[in-house]
Amino acid sequence: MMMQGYEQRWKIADQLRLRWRSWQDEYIVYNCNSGDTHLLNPIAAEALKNLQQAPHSIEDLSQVVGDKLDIAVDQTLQQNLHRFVLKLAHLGLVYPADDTR
Amino acid sequence: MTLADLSGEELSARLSSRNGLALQLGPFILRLQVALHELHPAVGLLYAEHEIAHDESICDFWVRLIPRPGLAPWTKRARFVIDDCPTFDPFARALALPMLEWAINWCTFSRPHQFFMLHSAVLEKHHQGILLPGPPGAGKSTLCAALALRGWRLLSDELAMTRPGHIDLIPVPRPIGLKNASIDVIRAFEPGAIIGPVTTGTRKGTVAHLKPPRAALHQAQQPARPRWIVFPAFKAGAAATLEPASKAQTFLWLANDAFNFHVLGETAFDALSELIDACDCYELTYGDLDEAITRLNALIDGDGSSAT
Repeated sequence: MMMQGYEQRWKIADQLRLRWRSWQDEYIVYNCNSGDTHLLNPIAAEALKNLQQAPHSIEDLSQVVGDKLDIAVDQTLQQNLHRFVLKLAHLGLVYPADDTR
Repeated sequence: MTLADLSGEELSARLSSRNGLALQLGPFILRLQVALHELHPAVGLLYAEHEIAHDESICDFWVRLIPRPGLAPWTKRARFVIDDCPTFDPFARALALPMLEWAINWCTFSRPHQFFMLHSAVLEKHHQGILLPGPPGAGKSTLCAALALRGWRLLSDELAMTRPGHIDLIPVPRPIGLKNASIDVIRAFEPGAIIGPVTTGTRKGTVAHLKPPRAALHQAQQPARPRWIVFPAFKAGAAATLEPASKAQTFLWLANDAFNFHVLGETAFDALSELIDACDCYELTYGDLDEAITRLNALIDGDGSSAT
């Protein structure tokens, strides 16, 4: 069942430059624009890397991430990715791709 | 020439003089003027092994500690003038010694951005550098003092410093700040330890400083190769255990607690990445200093069974 808002496509912020490092199964991403550092798990890292490549809806993103990491593409994954993308939006890292304002 | 080579009168005259006393602090030169004569013996004791820099040297920091009358004439107050700026508010003169140490900390933590600076104790043994970061109260200064008193070379009890592009840790050996119960813990641990005057009523409680061992100063120009990052956590009664720590979480912790990660930006990201690459990371829980030191000695001696 698709939940409201999951069809919204999200896009990485213009000019955003990220640096990545990983150790074991954890990722550090450094935002060269803000100087902030974030710790991500493999699911979040995969999602952000995909958003860096192209705009995605939560529905698309769940499918891509699920396929890549071989995990179930279910409502839990969609909810978690939705929350994650909203956090990214709060940090100014992504914004709605179809927002014309 | 070290401070120990000066007589009490000579030391007092230099500290009181217009040019002050130029001290070598690792790669830095501190020009120190102390107009509070009651502090001179403590400075002489705690910095006895520090090299005196050439009087004409260009200094990195110029710290003057001067008396300042209180609003009420019977109160005794003092204040700092750092690089000719009255940087901090006046304070009770009785707190001058720990305030002097904190002022020197402030200089070394907030000014020299040619270095990448992390908040961590740093020691070295068998050419392996160990960083001991941790939140206040974790027991890092106490453990650092104990290791320094058991033959580990002290680089700093507060400052892990590298040059961007290089991972070697640069020594800045200074007196080790001990607070509250840790003062008596270290006295009991090593009765021969030289500890300066005890000051009560500071914002951090009761404070005293351990004189750094002579070896730390004699090798103050020799950097150390980082090999271990260990987060100590004192827990009364706990057996000493070493558990592997996540490198990514260690990165985040150190970045958030660094003195100038945000100042150096991407340069700091690279420097910290290289440091994490070079080190194994652990959490050390301990309730007894001797046990903790045994664990760390086994770690650097390559005894894999030390990590539980």
